[in-house]
Formats: sequence, structure tokens, C-alpha cells
Amino acid sequence: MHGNEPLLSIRDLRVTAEKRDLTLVDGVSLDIHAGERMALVGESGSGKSLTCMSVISLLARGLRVSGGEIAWRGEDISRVSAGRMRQLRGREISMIYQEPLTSLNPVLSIGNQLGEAAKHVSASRADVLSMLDRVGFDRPERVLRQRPHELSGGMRQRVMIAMALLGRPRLLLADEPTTALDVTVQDQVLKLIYDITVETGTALLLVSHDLNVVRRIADTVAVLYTGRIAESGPTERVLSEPRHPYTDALLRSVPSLGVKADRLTAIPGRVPTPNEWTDGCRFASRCGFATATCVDKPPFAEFQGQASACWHTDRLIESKGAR
Amino acid sequence: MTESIGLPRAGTPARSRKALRNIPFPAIVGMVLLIVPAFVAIFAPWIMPHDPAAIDPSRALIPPLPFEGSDPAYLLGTDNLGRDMLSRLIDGSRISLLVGVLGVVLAGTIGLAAGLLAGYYGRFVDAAIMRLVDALLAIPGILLILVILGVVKPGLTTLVVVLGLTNWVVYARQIRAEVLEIRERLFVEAAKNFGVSHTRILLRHITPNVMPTFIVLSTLSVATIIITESSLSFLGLGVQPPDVSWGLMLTSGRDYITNAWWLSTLPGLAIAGTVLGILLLGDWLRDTLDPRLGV
Amino acid sequence: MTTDTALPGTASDAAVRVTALCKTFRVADGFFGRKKDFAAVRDVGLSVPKGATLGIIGESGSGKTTVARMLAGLLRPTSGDILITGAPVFDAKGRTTAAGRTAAQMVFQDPYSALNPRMNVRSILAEPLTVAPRASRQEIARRVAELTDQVGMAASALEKYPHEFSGGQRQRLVIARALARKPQVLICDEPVSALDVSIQSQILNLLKDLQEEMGLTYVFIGHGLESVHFMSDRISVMYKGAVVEQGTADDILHRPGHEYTRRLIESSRAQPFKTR
Repeated sequence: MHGNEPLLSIRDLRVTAEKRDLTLVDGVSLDIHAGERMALVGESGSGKSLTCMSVISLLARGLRVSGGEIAWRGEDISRVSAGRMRQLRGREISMIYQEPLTSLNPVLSIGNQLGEAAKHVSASRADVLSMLDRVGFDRPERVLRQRPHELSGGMRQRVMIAMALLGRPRLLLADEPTTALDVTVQDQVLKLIYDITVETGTALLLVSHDLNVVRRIADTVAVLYTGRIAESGPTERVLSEPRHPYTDALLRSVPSLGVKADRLTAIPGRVPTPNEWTDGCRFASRCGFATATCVDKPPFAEFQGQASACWHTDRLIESKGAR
Repeated sequence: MTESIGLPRAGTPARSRKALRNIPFPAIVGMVLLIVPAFVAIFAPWIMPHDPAAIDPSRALIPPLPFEGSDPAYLLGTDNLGRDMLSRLIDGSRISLLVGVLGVVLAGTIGLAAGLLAGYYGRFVDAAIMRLVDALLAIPGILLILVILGVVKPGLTTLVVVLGLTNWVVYARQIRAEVLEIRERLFVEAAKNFGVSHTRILLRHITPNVMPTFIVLSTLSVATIIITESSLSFLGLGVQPPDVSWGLMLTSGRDYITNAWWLSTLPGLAIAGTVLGILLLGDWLRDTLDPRLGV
Repeated sequence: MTTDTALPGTASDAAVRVTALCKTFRVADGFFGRKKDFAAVRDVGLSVPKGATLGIIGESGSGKTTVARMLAGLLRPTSGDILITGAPVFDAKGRTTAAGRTAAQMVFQDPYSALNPRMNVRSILAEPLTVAPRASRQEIARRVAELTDQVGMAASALEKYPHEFSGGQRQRLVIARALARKPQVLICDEPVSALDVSIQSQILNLLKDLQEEMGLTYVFIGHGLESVHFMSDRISVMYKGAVVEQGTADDILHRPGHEYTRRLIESSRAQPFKTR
């Protein structure tokens, strides 16, 4: 990592569904530095994907960035022209998606599609072949002639990674890149992403719902809940000493290998939908620590690089000490 | 560990009441466009100002009201034989709407049944029905109608039957495609899992889920059928004078289009307005019948 | 290797007994549609004692879902026998028997597609009870109320439609429907993988509670080791259509025999990657 200037700096990002006037991302702020691997983790509706999509202006129709700032190396790109965004995509910021089957055109050969991407970022055929070699294809020439359906899910995702990295971007966005894959294949692809980002110094913004994936790959993590960041900080710290009751409850609710429990510590209730969101803490209704204070918006308090938005962090820490 | 039930959306009965209060503007336009011809068709004998068949060459080709040479007694003017246009439009609405509605009912029933059976049972049933559909689609519809009408005596019943028999294929194909997708859904699998009969799966699980498609197809084919009726009437194979339909009026006015525009234009507008009304209403109906889309 | 085929429990007290189960699909191969046989399930044998849970784990294409559908009587095996509480699921002609339709029920992976969007909850839960032998009207009403309560839903849910519920609530309804005809065995095909993380544990706990209350036997299918290990007494590992390993849940975790199992455990341990 070099310098203190972040590569990507998101401040108070708001994403709104225009038609129904619902705020779906409600004031998310985060910084990614060169070479940093950050994970956005959360459940459906937490706003993790929307935050990621906002970065390269790929929000679905009817959604728009309604507030805040997304600065890419000092340039505000939240309201940038489509032309400028095309310049950035692929060369500076690349993206890989969850479903590698639908992100590749089934009737065109891999070579065709990689060629197109290569043209966009002015990469040579030799670049393409070496990149395919790098993502784990023994015979890159042969892959170029194949069509997407001839490859397995893991192979297709490798092709997508190769395509995303052709332009040597500084930041790779990955929206649930391994969710559609089998557990063992998932791990191989994840390892590839890890190795390749380490080698090239590419920063990573990974969107995931899976705490295991996050633990394996990310240096830092932001836990999102109902459009806001509940907690953020170094992955290892957040996942071992959470400072937000939601992170804590989430960690305790998933079965962990080797610990044979009779029942899981479930989080009661369900995630509130955006029309139910209040300004106060939105986890309060499911939280064991909630008090009357929680109707007010909790402050985002930092403690040794780990920050959480909770009124009762102290009581949480205390209860863990007692346990 | 009980989850709190019910998002703060209205339940279904409350929702439909609310939906009725918030009918979108296009749907209201659609209703008006349909209520007018429907009302007119039902009460035709009482609201016709003149006898629609009364010929009087002395009053031929009077233009409609605001235009020069118009006569307040004939609001929409007269045709080449001096018959009152308004009365003829009112009279014609009955046959046009009747043919449209009955044609759709017939085509829709045959097509829905064929599509459901072909899509759900597959194999032999599917092959048989779909080959028939392919064969019918290979022959231009109007040609088929001409052949049938060449054999059978033209008349209202023949017309409805012929229109029904030539329009069901569209339903069959679309509904079959839909059924192919729906029958793979897990709720169908679940129903089979506890031994629900095929008939019941078709009626309770599949049919309600193809209804949106069915409604859209029906609104589109009312339009097609009304228009086909007018071309057939033009060829002398549809509605037989002295009966009158909008289609017949539209096409028989063609010869006078340069000096008496209203002969074709007025029935044309009536057809266009009704068809538009059906389409707008159909759109809204499809959305409100879908439990997922109620707001 | 922990490949012990001599499972505890004799034929009489096994809730599920599967012997030499095979399923072959005819698939079109290549451009000219030549037909080729594809063995999706090869010679699978399973036995689950009453009240126990057998976990089946494997990657996609390992045949685990095919086995599940055959157990539930939804797919006819090419050969082999399936006995649920001693009664065959398929008759000699390959048709699903009455016992096969009642004794084992399936809980599906995707609660969004498993409920008919155009039926309200009351009709959804009542439907299994209207199939012969048909229950009386009062009996249906009583049973529907009971089911709703058993899965932790309020009575007010009955008049609502599936789209008004979250994924977790829908999965509760799917479970309630599966229980309607009092089956002895539930086949759970990845019942939580479509749900949010914070909801998964609720559903897994619910399944455990119901098992305890009703003495149900589970076949629990999954692709993630954590939830399968949590739920199961014994685990069968499937790979390319065959059971390559079976044993108690802890045996599989601590003394894996097959290469695939070892890779699965390694991936699930979730240690941070290290720079080479």
C-alpha cells in the first residue's frame, strides 16, 4: 500500500428507488486503498450490491444515486458522463458478476468475447493468452475456440476473471463471484482471485453474503444491514471481536464445523423491508441489547480502526467477557 | 422464535378495494371507450334517431354536423343511399361487438384447452395438437376462411365459428409455451408429491398462472377479429345486408373516400376506439389480477 | 476409509431403506441428437433409522437431488428399491404407490417457486388434505390451524398470498404443507440455501424442533458441510452419482476417506488465504 490517499472513497452514498421513493442505500461511506481487499457483507436488501453497482454506474433502471459522493482517485464519478465511465470501466475499474453463464454470450466463442474486451483496453493476443494461462487454463489456444456451454461453471468464472483483468485495472469489483459455484470449486476460484490481486496489486471490493468467503479473502470488511454500515474494520478483528450486536448474532447463528450444538442461536424476526426502515437503529427489533435509546440513530464510533453504529457496544463487549 | 407475520402491505380483500379506488387513468379511459359502445349496443332500438335501413336518395351524402351543408337532424350525416350514419353506427355496434366477443370466447376456449393439454401432457398429445397448429399457421388465415365460407353459407353464426376456428392457434402456442415453464415449477412438483390429480393440477395450479397471458391474448385477438370481420364483410362473405356492422360500413364507404370521408372514417373511429378501450382495460386487468403486483 | 456399508438398524426399524438404486437418463448428445445414456445415480444404498437424520452431501451433478426426487416418489428409478417405513414407494409397474405419496414428503430448496402465487396460504395448506382419502371440512380447518402454529406462523397468515411473505416465512409454509398429511419422513433438498444467513438458523432450528416433537426421520441434502454436519447423525458423501463414503457426521468431518470430502472440509474451514 502506498500513501494515505484512497483509490476509491465513498461518502454518505444514497441510492433511491425513484418510483416508490424508497431509500435503499442510506449513507454508506467507505475507503479502499491500492491493493486492499475489502468485503461488503450483508443479507439480501442490505444494499451491498447496490453500493458496488453505484461505483461503475450500473444501477438498474429506476434506481439512482440520490446523494453523497463517489470519488475515484479524487474525481467524483457518481455523476460522471457515460463516455468517461466507459473509459474507466475495464481499464481502471473492472467487474465480475455472480452468474458466469449469463454474463457470457452463448453463441460467441470465448476467443471472440475476450477479443472484444481486449480491443476495448488495447490488449494484444499474447496478453489474452498469458492471462488465460494465469487463471489456470493449460491450453489457452483451445479455450479461445470453445463456447461458454462447453466450459464448467468454475471455468467460465475463470474466463470472466481473465476478461476483467485484461486491462490491468486498479480495482476489481466482484459481486458474489463464487455463489453459483460448488463449494470446492468456489474455493479454487476464490484462491485465484486472492493470488492474482496479491500479484498485481489490484484492489478488490468483494460483495458477499458468506462470512466464510469474507474471512478467507478480505483484509477489511464492512457489514451492511438495511442500507447502512453496521460495522467495519479489519476482517480478522470484526469477525473475532465484533462491536455490533448484528455481526455478533450473525456469527453465532451460523453452524460452525466441529462444534456440535443441539440448536443454533437464531436471530429472531426478519430483516425489515425498506418501507419499514426508521431513522433509528434498524436492528433494534431483533437485538438482545436494544433499549429505548435505539430509536435514535446510533453514532458511527471508531475504536482502533474498527467502527460500529451501535449505542450498546460496551454492553456487548461486557457480555462477551462474561460469557 | 416466531417470526413476526405480515409486511405492512394490505391483505388481499383490502387491496382489491383499494385497487378499485386507485384505478389508473388509462384504465378509466379504456372503460369509457368500452362502456359507450356496450351501452349503445344494448339499447340500440331505443336510441336510434332514424331507421338505419331507410333509403332516401334525396338526402344522400349529407356531411356530419359542424361541416358545411350539414343537417341538424342527421348529426353524423348520411351515406350514399341517404341512410342516417348515427343510426347505422348504433345498429352496427351490436353485430361488431357480438362477433368480436363470441369469436374471442370460441377461439380462447379452444386455444386455452389445446395449449394446456399440449403443454402439460407433452408427448403424443403435444405432437398431435402442435402439428395441427403448425398446419393452420402455414395456411394464410384469410385463405382458410375463404375456403370455409365458399363451402358453408355465409351468415352470422358461420362468421363467428370461422373466426373462432382460425384464431385459436395463437392462444394454443403461447399458452403451451407458458405451461411448459409453469409445470416445471416446484409448486407443481409439490402437488404431485402428495398425489393431486392431473385435472386438479391443471385447473388449480396451471390455469390461474396462465391467466395474465390469456387476458392479454384475448384483448389482442378481439382487435384482430373485429378487423378480420370487416375485411370479410367487404368481400361479401361476412355480415350480409341489410344487417350492418362497423366493418361492413368501413369497407363499403371506400368508394366515396374522396368526396365523403365520413362514410369510412366514422366506423373506423368506432372500431379504433373500441379496440383501444379493450387494450387499455386488458392491461389494467392483467396487472390487478396478479396478486404480486397489487400496490 | 470409513465406508461401512453395514449401517445400524435392521430393515424393520429403518424409516428409509434404499438398495441398489440407479437412475439413467437418456440425453441428446451432439448436434445430430444422438441419444446417449447418462448414469445420474449409480448403485446407491442408504438406510436411515426412525427418528434419525441422514445427510447427503455432494457437488451439483453428484446425483443428490436425483436421489431426493426418487425418495419422494417424484422420479421413477431405473432400477433398485426404495422402502419408506417398510412400504415400497414404487409398484412393480413403476408407479408411485399411495404409501409413497404419503409417507415421505419433500421440502424444496426454493421457497419462491414452491408456492403457487395465485393461491392463498389456507388453500395451499389445505390442498394435501383434499386428496383422497379426503378429510372433512372441520378436520381440514383444524389441521390447517395446527400446521400454521407448528411452524411458528400466526393465524392471520392464512388469508394472505405467498408474495406477502419473506423467504424464511415462505419456507415455513413449505414445511407446513409437507407436514400436512403427517409423513414419517421429510426429504429436505437444500432447504436453507436460498435463504438469508440470519434466517437459515431459524429454519434449521425449526426442523430440529419438529423432528423432536413428531419423531420425524430426515434425509437432509446440502452442498455446504456446515449445515449438513449440524443437522445429521450420519452423512453420505455422493460424488459422480455414487456414494463414495458414509459414516457418522463426526467421522466424516474428522476422518474423511475420499479426496472430494477432504477438499470440501478444507474449503469449509475458512482459514484466511496466505500469500505464497
